[in-house]
Amino acid sequence: MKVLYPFIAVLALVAVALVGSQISGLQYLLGVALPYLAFAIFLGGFVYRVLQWAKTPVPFRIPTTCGQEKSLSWIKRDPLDCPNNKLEVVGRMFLEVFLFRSLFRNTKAEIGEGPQLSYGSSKYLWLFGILFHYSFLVIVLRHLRLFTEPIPLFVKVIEFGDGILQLGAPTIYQTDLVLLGAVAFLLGRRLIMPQLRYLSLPADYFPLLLIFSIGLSGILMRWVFRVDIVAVKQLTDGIASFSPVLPDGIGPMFFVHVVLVCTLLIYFPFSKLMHMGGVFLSPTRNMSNNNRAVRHINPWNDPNIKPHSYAAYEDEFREFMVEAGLPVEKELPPAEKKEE
Amino acid sequence: MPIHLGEDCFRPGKMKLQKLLKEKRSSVLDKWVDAVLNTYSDEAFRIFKNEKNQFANPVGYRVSAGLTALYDAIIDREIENKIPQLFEELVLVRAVQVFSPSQAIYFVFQLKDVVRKECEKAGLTDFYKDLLIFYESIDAVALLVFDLYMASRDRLYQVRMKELKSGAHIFTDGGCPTQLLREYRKNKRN
Amino acid sequence: MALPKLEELSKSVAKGPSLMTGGIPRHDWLETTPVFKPENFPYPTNPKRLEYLGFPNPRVWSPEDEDWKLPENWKDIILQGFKERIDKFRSFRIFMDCCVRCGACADKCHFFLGTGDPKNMPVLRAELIRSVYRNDFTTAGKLFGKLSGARDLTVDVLKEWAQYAYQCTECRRCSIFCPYGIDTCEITMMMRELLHLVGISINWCMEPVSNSNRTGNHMGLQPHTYYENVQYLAEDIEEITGVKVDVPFNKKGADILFITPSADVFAEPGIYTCMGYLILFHYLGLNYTWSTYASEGGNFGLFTSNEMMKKLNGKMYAEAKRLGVKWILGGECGHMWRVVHQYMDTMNGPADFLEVPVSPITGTRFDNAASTKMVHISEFTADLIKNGKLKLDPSRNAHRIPTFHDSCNPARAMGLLEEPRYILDHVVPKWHEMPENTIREKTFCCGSGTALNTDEIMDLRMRSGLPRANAVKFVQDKFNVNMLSCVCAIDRATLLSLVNYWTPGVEVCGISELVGNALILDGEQKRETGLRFEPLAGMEG
Repeated sequence: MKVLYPFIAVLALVAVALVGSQISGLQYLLGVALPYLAFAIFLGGFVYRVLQWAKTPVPFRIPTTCGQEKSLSWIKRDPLDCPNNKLEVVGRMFLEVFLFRSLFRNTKAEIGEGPQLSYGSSKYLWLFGILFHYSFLVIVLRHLRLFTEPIPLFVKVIEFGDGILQLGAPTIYQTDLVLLGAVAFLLGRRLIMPQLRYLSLPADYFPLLLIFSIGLSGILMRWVFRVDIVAVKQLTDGIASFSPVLPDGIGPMFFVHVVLVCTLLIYFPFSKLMHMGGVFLSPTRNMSNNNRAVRHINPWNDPNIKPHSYAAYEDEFREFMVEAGLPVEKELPPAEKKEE
Repeated sequence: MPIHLGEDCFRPGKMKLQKLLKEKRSSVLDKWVDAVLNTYSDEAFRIFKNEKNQFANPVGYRVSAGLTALYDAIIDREIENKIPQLFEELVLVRAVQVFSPSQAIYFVFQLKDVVRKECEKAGLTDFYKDLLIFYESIDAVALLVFDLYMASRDRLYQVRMKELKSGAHIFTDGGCPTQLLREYRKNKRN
Repeated sequence: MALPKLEELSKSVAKGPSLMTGGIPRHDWLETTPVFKPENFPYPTNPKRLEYLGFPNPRVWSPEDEDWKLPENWKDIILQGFKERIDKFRSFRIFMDCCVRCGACADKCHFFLGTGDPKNMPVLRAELIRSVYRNDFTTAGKLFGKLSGARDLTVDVLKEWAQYAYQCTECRRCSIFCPYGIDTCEITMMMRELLHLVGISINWCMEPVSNSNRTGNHMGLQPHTYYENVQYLAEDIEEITGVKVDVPFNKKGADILFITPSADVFAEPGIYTCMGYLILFHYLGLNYTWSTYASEGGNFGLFTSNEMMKKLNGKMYAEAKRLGVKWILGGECGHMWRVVHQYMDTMNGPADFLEVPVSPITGTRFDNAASTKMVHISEFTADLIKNGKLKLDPSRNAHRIPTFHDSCNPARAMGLLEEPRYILDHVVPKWHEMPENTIREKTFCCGSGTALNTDEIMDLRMRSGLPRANAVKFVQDKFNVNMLSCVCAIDRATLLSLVNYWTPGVEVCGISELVGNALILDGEQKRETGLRFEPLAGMEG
């Protein structure tokens, strides 16, 4: 059920695109209007969500410390897992964002104990996570060639590197295959491991199925259902320069690809995919653990919350305190003293 | 009280069943562990079963280590001499997992089922006597486990009592801390 | 009565609703309802305490009852409170939005490992509240409903929050494995704050809160009692060492105010840690003072609400100001240091009436506490040892073979890892670490933190503490470890029960007890017993 609905949804999108690509009016809608709309929603939604996070205050400084803090000068501290200043926080964030430090932590301690399998499986999550995200990044960067004229050097370099194995004609990009493999792993994991299956939602399967279909449609239109690449470039350049033209004869697979990509863009800001932005703002990771050295300000700190006062405390217990010989601020009234 | 086993029980070299149990040790054990872990939820089962690191998965570790120790003790007819320590720990675990007493010690009887199926699979037809004798030792083990289970529950209540007495609790309206401390000091010196 | 067949019995064992902490899920997690049994939920708060503290909806109720006597508009109250909190805490909002349910946290939680209940996987604990967040506060949830994992807030959902918010010790272990740093502690805190709005709370938390507010400490010890108890400990010290130690109280003009959890003053084995402090301060001739007003280092407000935490913590600075001390020294406590390190300065600072802490003995300036002006006893002691200021005889601890338990908060909310180890190196002949993935930032919780250290849920505590006990067992078997040392008062109380059940023969102590026992005082008599009146090695019989 949880995986069925997302699957049907993706199939439906493909069907819509295939039908649409055969109808000339819809072609324009899917090939030109939809990308503009999708990009606008993506950009607007993304910015809105990030701004919403950014404007929500951080009342307390709550880093999770994963190493020795800065304390006595002779104690060796751990600047990357327990940063004490902005620069070290940048270092920690770099490891987190670019190398998935926390996921990697999973494995470290367990090497050398228990059979390979146990830590192997946790390491796989890190490995396939990395493979997936970096392949995706490279693929997105490669696509810049469609929207730029002249094509920037770094895009060409990336393309060259990605196709360096020189397999097939046209050249097969390694990232295409890696991406599909990694998504298949992430998907398989959710389907096979009971605890993940138990906690996974349709919202977990949908993006994975969507991205898999995007990758697949991209590969298909390059090797199987070839599309007119010159026409595609003409279209994308037009879109990028805000003077879109829709050339004839772009194959239907292109429309499938575009519709799926646009769906991803539209879906993005409403979904867990926003972790892309959230990871930078996570207060347990992006703050210095210098709490006792530098005061952190809570914008909504309520000055009216006061402790039960010493005066009230002493009033309640003064007699006992005097009797026990504890110093007090106010002596007992003389009348009571006489009674004793 | 020592548990007394029947004369014939696992007379070395005589029983076909014992031979079979030794040959099929890992397969029988595996099935037994599975059957026991199956009494937990599906998600827990997966982790208890597959996470081999004993520190990341204490429950699964204790189940498999405890059953292994017990199995070997049964085959080698060592039950009355020693209760393997690892097995004691397994009962300690079962005793605090919200099982009813019968559920908590049911795992012993699960071995009967596993072994009977294994015999059938091995085509061992002329085995009823062996099996009866084997069941006898399972029954003996069950009695031991019952003792251990009760001892574990008893230990748990001792822990509760001790915690209350140690003063590691908060005083509600009635208690006078100084009085308690005085009594406590008196007891400690004695 | 016919006996059920084995197979059937096996099924009933596997699928029976009594299993684990309240029935194993036969349905999707969005649809299961919680089951409350006497053993799996602490006693609800005595209404008198709630009235005293001004918390809403004080009443007599039981979690086992169908009707929890919630206010009529409970749902509005919760949703209103929810909205306020996602607008006030970036952590809460981001943690509601960002989780991808990768499952890396699932098998990191001691509650999950010990109970096997899937809703104790940190991700699902958070999903319990996230599902409501999606339903009421996100576009996707409004558009796609259940498909996006959204569900309506019902009484059963609320009960489920209560069940699992009180099966989390806010230990942050899952957080270190999360790729987005999602901290279940923050989520549990928010769940508990929301539950308080409709009068759902536990007595073991609110009793200490109200005691602490009124008498200054969790135990509810009144000033004269507190004072007397410390005197008793001083008498014990005199009996053991032959040296009379001073116990200065509420002393104006002292240099340092000393604050430690009140359990150290009354409860075993904390009292021995307390004797360690007294011996150390006497040895140093420290110009310091105790306070009866700020006589609690711990702060159960942390487990209640941020407002309550602030109110209780306010006493520390208030008392420091009244007594005119220069800085504050804090005893061994876990959650106290979470509050002191991460919240105190923000909530109750700036402490501009205090000075940057300087050790009067070594002259070391504690720049890491330059703003808060509060130093941890382990930092203070480690500095003394490093500078050769302590005459120590580790052989007096030869009868102890300790291991060291990193308490959750000093480890994962402060980064205090090396100091206690450095001290251990110098006060005992030998000690042993527990296995690598169960210590330091990966340490396992005692299983009874956040006010769950109450005896009516002892079974549950033994389960949640199993991962910790299991590692202790390992070093007990391998190295004959007989002492579990730590720097946390809750640990000292709860680990004792844990080891009494799982690893009898192991005792529990604070680091300062070992320091006090090893410290050679001027004019002391030949010591025959340790601080517990136990014979020293070579002195038996």
